[in-house]
Amino acid sequence: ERVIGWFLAQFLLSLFCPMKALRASAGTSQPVLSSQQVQTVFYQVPELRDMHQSFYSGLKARLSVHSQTDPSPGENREMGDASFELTVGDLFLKMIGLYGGFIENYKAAVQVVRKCTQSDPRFRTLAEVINTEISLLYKPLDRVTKTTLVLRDLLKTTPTEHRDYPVLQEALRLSRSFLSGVNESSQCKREVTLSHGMRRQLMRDGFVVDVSEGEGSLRHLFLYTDLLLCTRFKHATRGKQDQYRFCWYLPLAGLRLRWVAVEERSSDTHLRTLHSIRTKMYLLRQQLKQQAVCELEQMELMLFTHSPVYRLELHSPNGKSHSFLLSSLYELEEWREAIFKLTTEKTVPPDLLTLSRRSDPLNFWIFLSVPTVENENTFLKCTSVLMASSSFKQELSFQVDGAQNMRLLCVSQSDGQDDTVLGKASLWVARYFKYIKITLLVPHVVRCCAEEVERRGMDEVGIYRISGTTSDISTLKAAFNSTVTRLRCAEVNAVSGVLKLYFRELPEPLIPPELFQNIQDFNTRLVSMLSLLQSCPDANRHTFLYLMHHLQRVSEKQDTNKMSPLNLATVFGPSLLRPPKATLGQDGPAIDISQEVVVQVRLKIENVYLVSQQISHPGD
Amino acid sequence: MPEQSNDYRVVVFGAGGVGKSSLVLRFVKGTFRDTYIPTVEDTYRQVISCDKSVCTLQITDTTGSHQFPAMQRLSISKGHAFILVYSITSRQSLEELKPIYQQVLAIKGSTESIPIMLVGNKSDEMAQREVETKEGEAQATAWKCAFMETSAKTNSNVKELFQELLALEKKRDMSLSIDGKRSGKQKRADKLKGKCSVM
Repeated sequence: ERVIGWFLAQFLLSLFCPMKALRASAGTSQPVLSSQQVQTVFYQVPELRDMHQSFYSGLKARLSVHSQTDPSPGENREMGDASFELTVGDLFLKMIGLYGGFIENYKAAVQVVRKCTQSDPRFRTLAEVINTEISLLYKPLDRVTKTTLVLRDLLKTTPTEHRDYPVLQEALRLSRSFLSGVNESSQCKREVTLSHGMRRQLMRDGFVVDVSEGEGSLRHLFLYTDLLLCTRFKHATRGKQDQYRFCWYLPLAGLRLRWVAVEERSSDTHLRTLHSIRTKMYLLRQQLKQQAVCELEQMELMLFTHSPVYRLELHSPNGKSHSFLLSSLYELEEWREAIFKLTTEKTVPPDLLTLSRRSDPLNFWIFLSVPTVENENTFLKCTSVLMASSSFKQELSFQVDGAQNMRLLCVSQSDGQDDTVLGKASLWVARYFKYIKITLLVPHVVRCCAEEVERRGMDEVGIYRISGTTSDISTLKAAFNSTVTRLRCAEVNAVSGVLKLYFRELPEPLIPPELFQNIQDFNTRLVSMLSLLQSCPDANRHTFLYLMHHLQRVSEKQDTNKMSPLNLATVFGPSLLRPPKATLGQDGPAIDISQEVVVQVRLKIENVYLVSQQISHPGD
Repeated sequence: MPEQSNDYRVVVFGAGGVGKSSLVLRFVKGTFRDTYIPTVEDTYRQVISCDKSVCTLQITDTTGSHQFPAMQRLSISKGHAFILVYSITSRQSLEELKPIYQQVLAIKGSTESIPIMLVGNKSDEMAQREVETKEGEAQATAWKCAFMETSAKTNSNVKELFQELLALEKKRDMSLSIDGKRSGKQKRADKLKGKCSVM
């Protein structure tokens, strides 16, 4: 009951004031506006007023009845309550329906008012007198918000079994859906009209690292049509939403940009920090549980704060300047271009396609960056390649870890001048690489040999067991060490031999020796091996899994090539795992260990799908 | 070389799939398996007579699929006698023996006092023959070692191979049969039967 009383007071105060103002303007603006315009602007206003009045009087009457019956016995009071609240529900329903019509008209009304403001000075003066028309027209909308709140309060205090309950609930539902509709329509027109007829729009936003004040700090930068806004991002704490704190803003007019395509060198410790963050992120991603997501996000921001190396400087005409670090040149160029577009009217640089048609050999660089899956702003890898000619024949290998886009930026460098961007492109990586998910960490030799064996050696009896000619193998090895090799002409057993040789001659075995354990318990064996594999360095693990997949495919043809998983394990095992050196010199244990190696590798080959599922794609 | 034990160690080398294990198994167990299983490393022991007493013949069956120089060197330095096996159906398997022979030579210094047998296995697969007997013999002459063609599958010349190898050992007097040593005549007869020649 107290809620009702409070509501009434609120209602009286906040509703009648705009009503009167509206009525007044309706009366005075008659000679200024045509009758149709008046109709549009003050659509349903009289109805609204009438309805509010009836609502108010009805409410007042009910309330007075209610207060009269208040001291009377419980039964009576309940009756009064019921009838009274029923009226309230009805009233609310009616009111919201009317509001709907009014708000739908809102846009049209605002337009008319705007037009009139521009065309008729008399109207403008009038509008100034009674505040702005638009804000007045907005009042009913504001009212609906309040009504919704009141309805919710009412519902809270109304017992569930009360007859009025469903009616109120319906009213609340209506007003809520109505409000969300308003929200949607208002979201698409967030832009603000600027003085000179331009609309302020958000052109671009993203995280950058601000290094103007010495050490780098993470900032969220917003580029609007006419200004650059820098904010500090405050992560959501318990019960609060993410927040942005204002830092500074620069008008775009006259802003000069300077950027350099030279990476800022990072110290070793810095690189180690980055590496450890990446490792942690990798582990978190392995878990990929709900609670890890938040942590992962923070890690990403941390990584973002520490990794950028490309500098973008902003100089405003009033002497202020800021400099940012961005983690990829591509990102930097996008910012630069966005700002550039807004400050000048020039055309965009030619795209990468036109670049390939250029005839003159250039001294230009290709900058590659691969954003992570989760966050477009953090990059797994940024690298640059100097291109001496227009054909691109360089092999790059880096970890993509599920990322699917690759960004390319081509930059020409000439002495004494600012670097010029020749073009940029974003590529869908999976189209360009065959085994994209795991291969990019796998050494070139391994991939080439495995592919060649799969092409020609699958039906070869004893593939990997039969050794190739020693001289052939050493020739191939030498070729791999120097130039691009032609494996197609080589004997397939020599190719398989090179692959085995590669693993044998690695300074460290693929599975690090400290992880070599004599696992006795057969049941827990697979589990322990999995965890061992988890703790391997990325490159080792990926190569291992790649090889296991390959061997698995070989063993699928064991009817022809006679290489069962066990056979492959026997042949390959000692190349992949090496017993600790101490035992090598002893007779008995050495053999035991080689058996153990066989068993372990065999298990891995046989369970390769299981293994790889658990290790490489935890989310799948 | 640590020579405490009375063992006589024979090491079998050869490329992958030439039949090293088959030869050893045929000799030690008298069986032949038609399966395709590569070997990591196996050691078999058999009691033989040596200098009128007994000693253990230890046969190390090595892997042909991969050569770890360290492991190989270890086997060579510990071995007393060597069997170098190739398959007559693969010229390449004979080629593969060359670096192994060089390794033996390098570690042992000289191969003159060391019993070495060059063995062309799979002599039953005449249809697929790639290496002629003459070529094998020529290679054995070049290496100054004995030569024999065998078949583990048909049990041809397998026992003879080991007998001949032991006969090549001049430092000790060894024989496969524990009850005394054979007469030279018998030995020669065996040789003729098995078409083996000593260079």
